[in-house]
Amino acid sequence: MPLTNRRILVVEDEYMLAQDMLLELQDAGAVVIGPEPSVARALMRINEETTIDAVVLDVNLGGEQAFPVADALVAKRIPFVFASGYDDDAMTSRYPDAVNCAKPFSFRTLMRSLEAVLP
Amino acid sequence: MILDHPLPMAVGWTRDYITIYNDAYREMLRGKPEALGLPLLEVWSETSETAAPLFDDVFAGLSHRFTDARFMVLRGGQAEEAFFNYSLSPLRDDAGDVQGILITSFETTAKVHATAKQIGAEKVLRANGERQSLLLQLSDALRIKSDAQEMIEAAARMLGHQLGASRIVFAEFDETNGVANVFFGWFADGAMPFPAVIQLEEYRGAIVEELLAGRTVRIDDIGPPFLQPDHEAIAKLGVKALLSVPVLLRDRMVVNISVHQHTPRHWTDEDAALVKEVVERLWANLVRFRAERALRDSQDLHHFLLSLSDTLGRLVDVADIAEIAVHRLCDRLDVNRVRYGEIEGDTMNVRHECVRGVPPAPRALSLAPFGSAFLERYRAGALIQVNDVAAETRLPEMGRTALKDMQVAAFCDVVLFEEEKRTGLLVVQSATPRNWTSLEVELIRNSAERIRSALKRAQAEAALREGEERFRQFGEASQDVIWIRDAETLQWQYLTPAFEKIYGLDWAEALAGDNYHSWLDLIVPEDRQLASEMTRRVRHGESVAFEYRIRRPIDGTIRWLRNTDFPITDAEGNVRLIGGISHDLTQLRNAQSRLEEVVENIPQLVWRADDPGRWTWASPQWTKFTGQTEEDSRDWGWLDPIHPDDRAPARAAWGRAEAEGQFTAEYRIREKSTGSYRWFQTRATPLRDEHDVIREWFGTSTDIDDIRRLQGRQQVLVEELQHRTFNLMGMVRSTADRTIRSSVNLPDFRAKFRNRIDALARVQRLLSRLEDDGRVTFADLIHAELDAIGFTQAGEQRVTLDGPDDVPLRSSTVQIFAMALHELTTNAVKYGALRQGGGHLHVRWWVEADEQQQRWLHVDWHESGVTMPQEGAAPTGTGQGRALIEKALPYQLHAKTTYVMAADGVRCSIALPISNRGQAETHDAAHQSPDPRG
Repeated sequence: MPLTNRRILVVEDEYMLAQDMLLELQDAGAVVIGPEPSVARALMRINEETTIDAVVLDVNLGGEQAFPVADALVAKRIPFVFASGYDDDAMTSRYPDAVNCAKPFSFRTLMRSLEAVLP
Repeated sequence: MILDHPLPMAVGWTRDYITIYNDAYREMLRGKPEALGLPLLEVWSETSETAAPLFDDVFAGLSHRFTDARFMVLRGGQAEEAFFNYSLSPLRDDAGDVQGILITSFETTAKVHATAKQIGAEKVLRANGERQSLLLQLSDALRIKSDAQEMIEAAARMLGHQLGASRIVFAEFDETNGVANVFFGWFADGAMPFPAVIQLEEYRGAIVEELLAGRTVRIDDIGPPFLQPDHEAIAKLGVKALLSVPVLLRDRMVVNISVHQHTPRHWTDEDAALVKEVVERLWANLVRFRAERALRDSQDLHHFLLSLSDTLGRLVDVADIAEIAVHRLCDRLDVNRVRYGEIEGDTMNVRHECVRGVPPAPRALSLAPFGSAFLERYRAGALIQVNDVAAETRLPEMGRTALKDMQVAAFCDVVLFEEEKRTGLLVVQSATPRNWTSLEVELIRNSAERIRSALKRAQAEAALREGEERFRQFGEASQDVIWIRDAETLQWQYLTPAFEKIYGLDWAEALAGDNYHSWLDLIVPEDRQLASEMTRRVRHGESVAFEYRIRRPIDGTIRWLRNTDFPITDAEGNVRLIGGISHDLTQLRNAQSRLEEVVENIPQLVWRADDPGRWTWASPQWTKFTGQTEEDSRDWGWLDPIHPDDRAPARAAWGRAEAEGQFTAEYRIREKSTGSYRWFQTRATPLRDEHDVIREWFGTSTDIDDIRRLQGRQQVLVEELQHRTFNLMGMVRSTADRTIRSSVNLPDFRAKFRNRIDALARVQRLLSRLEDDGRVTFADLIHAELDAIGFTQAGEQRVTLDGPDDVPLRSSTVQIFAMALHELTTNAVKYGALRQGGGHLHVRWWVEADEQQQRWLHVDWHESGVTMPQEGAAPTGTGQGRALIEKALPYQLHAKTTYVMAADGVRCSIALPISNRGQAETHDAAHQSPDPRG
């Protein structure tokens, strides 16, 4: 299983969604970091963790845009998947290589997207 | 018998008159060749005319006898006068028939001469006396005559009577032209003489030679036989004897008088002397008379021309000039027709004519019949003079016929020239041949010149009058005031009627008095100095244009005028007059100011640019909004108040403007009064010239900041809705999953899931009911939840709600918070305070700020009077609710929570941060960043 023991950071402000993702990822064998509900927490986590293989990143975090997090990830060359309620090209034009799993996503889609971005 | 007879005798034998004569008769034949045996008429050929009929008589039996009969006999080749007594008698034969003529003859010449001498002396004496008397009479007669022809006739008549001549002929010689003007002075038979011109060539001969040499010609008997051919020519005119006396002037013959006699005559010295006296006297008188007449004519000519000039000079109408001139000329020259017309091609079109005593002639006349030689002269513009059309050989037959048809016997035409262009033709025609005198020709030529100059003057004047008239009409029709002032006195010399309309002042009133100062007084005081300064400048040769106001005395209204004043100079360049045009700008000004009002008051920033982006003008609104002066905005200066981020796009939009034919851009402009940027939509349209080339751009910048904000807000809302919906779906799914996990069977799931979905629905309803800045308050949430289960009705004692109504919650927090409260309520209904009769739920809430000034909502959920199950007993369903309180709220809302299963019921406390200002975060977000994604 490609996700086995992979360290996946989940950044999602909705508690219940975050919990669901956590369970799904764990079921897939991944090691979940987080989940983190805000930009500040997520950035903190990215700095603290020595190894993050990939990130699932919600675009809207309690009314805050998640782009600073995405920028930090780009800088650290950590692959990530957007989990977004938005269908737009602002994001794709800013992060042309990012994969977006539009909400509401099926966990299967999310897993596949994560597998695809993993190095 | 004959031969021996002492008297001269001859016989003419037979009808041949065979001559037989004796010695005595030989003397008669002196100077003649031997005549014996020759016919008698041949021997006396010079007298044969007289003799032949006499001889016939003799043969008829008659005899003739003559005494002192005069004969011109040829002796030695010379004609000589001789006198004879002679008789002619028949010689009969035996039968009595006449066979010959017997002539007895005796010359009496000597005797006759002797007698004549005696008589002659008396005659000379008498003749001398008569001659003196005649000359005196002649002098008297010539003195009173006022006409050359009359003088000649008087002299000729007197001379003719005196000499008993048949004819007196006076001629003037013009050797240069080879002609003699012959005046037939007097005829004895009373016939009327008429003048003639003869060509000397035709009479060339001894006579003329003699005369030209200044010698008197005397011929007593001209013949036959004729000694000269010219004698014969004269004889044909019936002249038998001729006495012709010439007068010489500087060795040239000028005049002569010829005395003709129809019979042979002996001209005496006295005759010759008399004729010489008469001709000299006549000539002297003619010369004197002609000199006087020439002087008089010359004076007349000048008088006529002066008078003509005077008359023509006063005429205004071009048509009158030629009309009057042709009549004057016709009268003056006493001719039959004077015409003035124009030559077009080879046709003369008569415009004016005076006709006297001849029928009318065509007014359009082709000159072609006059032949190329004449046409050439008409084209060259020479004076064409013909004295006698019939004798004018240079005119073709056709031309002569044409002239004859018009009764033209003589004419004198002058072509009028103006700057080497033919302009007219003056024609003077006489119905009789006429020797145009040089004075007449001069008169015609000068008259033509005067007509020409008068016409030119009148035409120029007419053109000038027309020009003046046009100018006057222009002036009177003009809506503008057109005026002329004297540069010295500044008084109006010319002022058009538009003045009255504009100034509301009577024209005459305006001109009265010192009208320059009156005019200045009409100008409003603020503009008066400008007006007088401008006038001063025009006086110094400058052209000016300026605008000023006048106050109309009639109604006190103000009129705006624009003056264009210019100097009018004389030949030396001195300013003599000031011309001006005053245009009423009032309406324009008003319209302009209305337009300006519009431009300056529309809620837009208006500006114009020449090259794309280079402003040339900005409306006051621009300055008001940006605080930038109009001057500073010019060129690219307007970019300064533009948001730095928007400057490049704005420039780029201008870069496309020319190609696209319009400019459209949206950029932020800093508002001076607030210091913040506002979004403007800017559009500009080009103004093109007739070649479609862009000359200028007109633009407006419209404030769209509010619209953009609304649009941004709308976008946020749409996205919020989208976000909320997607989250909701996730929540529904998640709720379903959890409910499944905690349900024992499907009916259990159905009941639990419905409850939770209903709770979610209530939250959505609360959220969707919100107005713009509305907030769901905590009171809303708790009421909605307890309403759903019927615990807020009046009379319900088991629930106490205690807290402020106005604690707003962030929308993003409402859903999870509501779910948590729902789980708490459900648990209370199923297992806690609201299930049992003695239970009580007390919900208290309040707001507190911490040290960081963060406001917190504190909620205290306190159930009491509940009989709690034993530890480890059957599940009380708190799993889901508790998880939400203890995990979800802290995670998602940064809340601080406690959850305690106390002895008489659940106690739960929730503290969550709320907005400090009580303002909607959506609003804030939209304001700070209109683009929710930017």
